[in-house]
Amino acid sequence: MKKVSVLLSFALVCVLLTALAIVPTTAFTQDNPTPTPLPTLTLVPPVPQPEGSIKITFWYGLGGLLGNVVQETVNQYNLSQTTYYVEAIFQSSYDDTINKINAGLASGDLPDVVQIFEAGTQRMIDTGRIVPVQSLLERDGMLGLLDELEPAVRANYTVGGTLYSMPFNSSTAMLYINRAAFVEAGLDPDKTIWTYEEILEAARQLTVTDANGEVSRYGLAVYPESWFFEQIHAVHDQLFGTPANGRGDTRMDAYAFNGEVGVNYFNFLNSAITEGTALYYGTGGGAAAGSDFATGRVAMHFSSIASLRTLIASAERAGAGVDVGVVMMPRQPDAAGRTIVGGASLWMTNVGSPEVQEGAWDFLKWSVTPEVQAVWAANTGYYPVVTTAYDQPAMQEALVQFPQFQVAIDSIRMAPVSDANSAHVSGVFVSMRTDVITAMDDFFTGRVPTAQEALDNAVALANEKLEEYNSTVP
Amino acid sequence: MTTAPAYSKISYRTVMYVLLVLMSIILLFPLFFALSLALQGDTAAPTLIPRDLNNLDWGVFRAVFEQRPEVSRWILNSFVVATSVTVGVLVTSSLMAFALAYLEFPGKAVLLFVALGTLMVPFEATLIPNYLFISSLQWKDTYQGLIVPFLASAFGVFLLRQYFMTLPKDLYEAALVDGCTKLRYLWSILVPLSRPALATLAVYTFLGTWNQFYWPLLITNSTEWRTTQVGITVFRNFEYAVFNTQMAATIIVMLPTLILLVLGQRQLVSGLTSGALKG
Repeated sequence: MKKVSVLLSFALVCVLLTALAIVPTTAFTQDNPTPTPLPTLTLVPPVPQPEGSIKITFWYGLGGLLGNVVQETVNQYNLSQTTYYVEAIFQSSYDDTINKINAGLASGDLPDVVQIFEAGTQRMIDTGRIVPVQSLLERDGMLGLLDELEPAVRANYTVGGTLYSMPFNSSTAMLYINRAAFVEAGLDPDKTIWTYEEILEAARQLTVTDANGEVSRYGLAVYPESWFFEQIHAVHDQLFGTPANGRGDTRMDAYAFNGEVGVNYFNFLNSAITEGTALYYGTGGGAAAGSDFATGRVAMHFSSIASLRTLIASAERAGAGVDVGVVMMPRQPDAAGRTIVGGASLWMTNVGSPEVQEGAWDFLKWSVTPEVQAVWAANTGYYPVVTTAYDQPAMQEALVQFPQFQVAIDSIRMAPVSDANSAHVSGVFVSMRTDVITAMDDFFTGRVPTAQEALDNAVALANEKLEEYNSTVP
Repeated sequence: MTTAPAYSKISYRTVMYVLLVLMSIILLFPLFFALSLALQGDTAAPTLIPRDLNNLDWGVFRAVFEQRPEVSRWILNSFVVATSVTVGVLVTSSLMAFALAYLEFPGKAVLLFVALGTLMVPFEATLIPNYLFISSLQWKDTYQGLIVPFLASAFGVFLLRQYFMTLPKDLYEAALVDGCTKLRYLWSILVPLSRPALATLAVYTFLGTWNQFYWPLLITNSTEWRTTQVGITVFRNFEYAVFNTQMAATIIVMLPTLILLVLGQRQLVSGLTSGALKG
């Protein structure tokens, strides 16, 4: 065994090293010319700090291609003026960023600006080390900016009537469809609002069984994911937690997602699985489901609007004739809400000197100017957080090239903002998601017989943690 | 009568080799899968075996270095840190294990139990105090900040003490009678005899340190002070399930340890067997 594995691993090492040595650089992009460019995969070095400028530390959690766009954006800010210099530091992921914030609370080793995902809102407020963005808007007489923010986005980062952080990158959940398969099955690919019943019927029509009785195309891809489940509550204008999703003056003290809306959604997905018109991918199956969608093995797939470009590019590359479209999250006929906002926002801390805090504030204000937001949105898969960005040429071009974005924007504008159709805030947001995912998997795999029981379990677990968290904060 | 044992010997060998090959396939599968994903370009729909074997994207490894030239610095950092910690742990563990195994002094039993007791305290519980201490020393973004907290290991002390105890006490007494000092005995007799235990501890410590994530993330901020495991997270895409550069980077940072293992295999194996014979 040792000999074999040594030989094999040695061979592997040799192959890799040779490959490294001989391959021309250009091979990377030449092979597969694609009309849908992903953000460029090039080095984005930070620009040097001008002498005498005040340094602002900025932590962010977006890696990969999107991380490059973050550095590019920061570079543009640094080149736009010479008073301040933003040093962008990548902290591995959203989760690790907030963990590092927690570790730094005791010693005060905190950044001046930090990008935090929407699930971290309550925890950031509870640190007591942040400056609410709204207080600075008030000070500078800039409250008008609040009205320029996309209403859904503004609501997402507003708690108790105060906007705490500056929205930065915002997405929402969509149901991706293979338009070609829809046309083939006689379905209308331009219809954007679908009920559960209609999706179940579409899944039946989209499922293709070959001569051997093997399913060659499934209607729907299903994998357990809490974010979509949270979205469904907003779509049906139903509180996810009480009181008021934690958006009011008092803290949220109980999860309430085991009601009719949650049960119906679970049963909807489960019917498709048991009918054999949906393929179940299991926990963590999102990437596999996306892959099968791009290759045409499934015709409908839940994902974030921010995945649009990758899915289009991957579908083109796979060459299976998948035409990527999006529709809104499926719903019941009486649904009166809208989808909610995912992504992250920028928080300001109070640890820096007054000049440093001024610099951090200057960067935050700059980050939501229409020009910056338009370029940012056009280069990522996020939509702009300020409505004024839609007038910008960069954004208009992006909308022409990717009309699918309009469906996402319509989806978050479907209904006036309410507490019920804004995401909830709680200190145990992240662990609650694990409970929801477990509940889904338990139900879809038959370990727990009913949706109601699975959801009751999840609510009980989440509430226990919530109570514990709430008892540790004033 | 004579053919039967030969036959069973051959079939035994065959079964053995089939099993070993199967095991190797299982062990190497993650590597193969990583390589396969790396070579398929920036697609969200990769396959287990690349669709088009003539059109593999070997340039992805080059792209990793182009996109993040710091990768080589991260590997260097991890190497310096893992090697220093390994050497440090070997030195401190063998010294303390020697004291615990051979010397008589008051409070010896208590000391052993206190050392073992630290094994029960999870790393997460000491994280914040450690972090405060190291950052108050201004050791963020330095090698000492990455190395010093891990220079002593209760596990190493325990492992070596147990091993030292198995060696005949007569050897120690004979050496002392011949005028050997205690340190000399440790260095010239105990350490060579304990190669298997030391090798085990060294490999365990090196890999453990190489794979550290949370501590290096906390204690470093600037790109050039990151270690490999923290550094390569920059290749993980967010909102894009595209794995090629991430996998290529993973393979690249794995290579040094793999090469070390391939080169050190003979040494490690001979160390283990020679120890077994002498012990």
